[in-house]
Amino acid sequence: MRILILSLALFFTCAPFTCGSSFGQAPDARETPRPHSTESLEEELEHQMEGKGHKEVHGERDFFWMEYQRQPWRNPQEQRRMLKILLAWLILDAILVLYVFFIRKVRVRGKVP
Amino acid sequence: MRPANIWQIGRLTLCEWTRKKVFYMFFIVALAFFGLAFTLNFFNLGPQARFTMDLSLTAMGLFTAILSLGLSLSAIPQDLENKTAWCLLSRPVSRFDYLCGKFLGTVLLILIILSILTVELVVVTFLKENRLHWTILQAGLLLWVESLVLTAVVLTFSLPFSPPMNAAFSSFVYAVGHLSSTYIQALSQESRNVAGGIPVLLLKLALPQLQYFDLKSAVVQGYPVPLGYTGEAVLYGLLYALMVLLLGELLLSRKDL
Repeated sequence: MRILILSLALFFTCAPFTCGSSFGQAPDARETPRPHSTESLEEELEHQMEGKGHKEVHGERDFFWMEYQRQPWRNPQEQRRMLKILLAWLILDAILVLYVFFIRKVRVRGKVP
Repeated sequence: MRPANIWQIGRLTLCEWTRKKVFYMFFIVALAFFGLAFTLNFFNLGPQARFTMDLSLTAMGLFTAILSLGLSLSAIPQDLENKTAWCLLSRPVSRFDYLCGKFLGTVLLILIILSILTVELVVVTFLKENRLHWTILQAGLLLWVESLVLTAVVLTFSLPFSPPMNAAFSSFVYAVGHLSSTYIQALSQESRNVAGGIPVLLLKLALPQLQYFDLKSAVVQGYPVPLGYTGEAVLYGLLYALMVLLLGELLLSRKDL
């Protein structure tokens, strides 16, 4: 019961901070065009992905908009990065499976008691 | 490794969890919260459905995290303390089967609870808006995959660490895993010229990228999420959980019971 009360208290304290997307920080892209921007978002995004930092567009620093654009389900660059990570884990898993189920078994079997 | 052994241990673990009453309380509170969320009137601003979906999905994420943390934290230490693990391992059951069985039982319980909550949210949203939000199902699925990763991490950490330390480390993994790539990018840029750059890079590569499983903003803004993306995220979660479980097996095989 104590855990339950603690969790509920934690939830009601944290919920307003975690529900960011419906508080108007990330507006609906179909309805609200980005104000005063003449450059494409992709161009700006590439600029930031290259590590040059956030590019100031007309003196406006709309961090939340950038954050919204970088959602992995929405951004092809993030998806490519995700594929690379996926490949890395696949290789790592294959090595571990080989070690746990084959190499180690052979080594254990070959030991003289 | 024998799938029959894993299934039997998983079934036993599921039965064990269903006997714990505190989780029924959690479940009933979450069920009631989702059902009643639409009766709340948020100052008549208009986008109530969006707000409620956001709040409900946040609650689901937190609920899943608490559940997987609470269940897996004591799963193996409790078995070792009660000596039930000895009875199991004295039979022709490998330690990997035992670990996978515990994992399977926990994630099955989370799957059952998450399915009910997701279907409830879909139905409630349909009743309110008269249209089906299929993205909620994808979000529910990815939340479950996130719980797979978290459960595997907590189970593996429970082998070398005591439960309080495990809770601290696992919460850290959960919190940092949810930091978006923007923050990590900013961190790595800040520490590029100092020795801190390498730990940040390792942190970035080794910790699970839990933001891949977060479809909250897609659901709230009403964007369709490509099925290919969902598949990739599921595959990523499965691979990560498998890797952590294999590391757990390496730790468990060396543990002196």
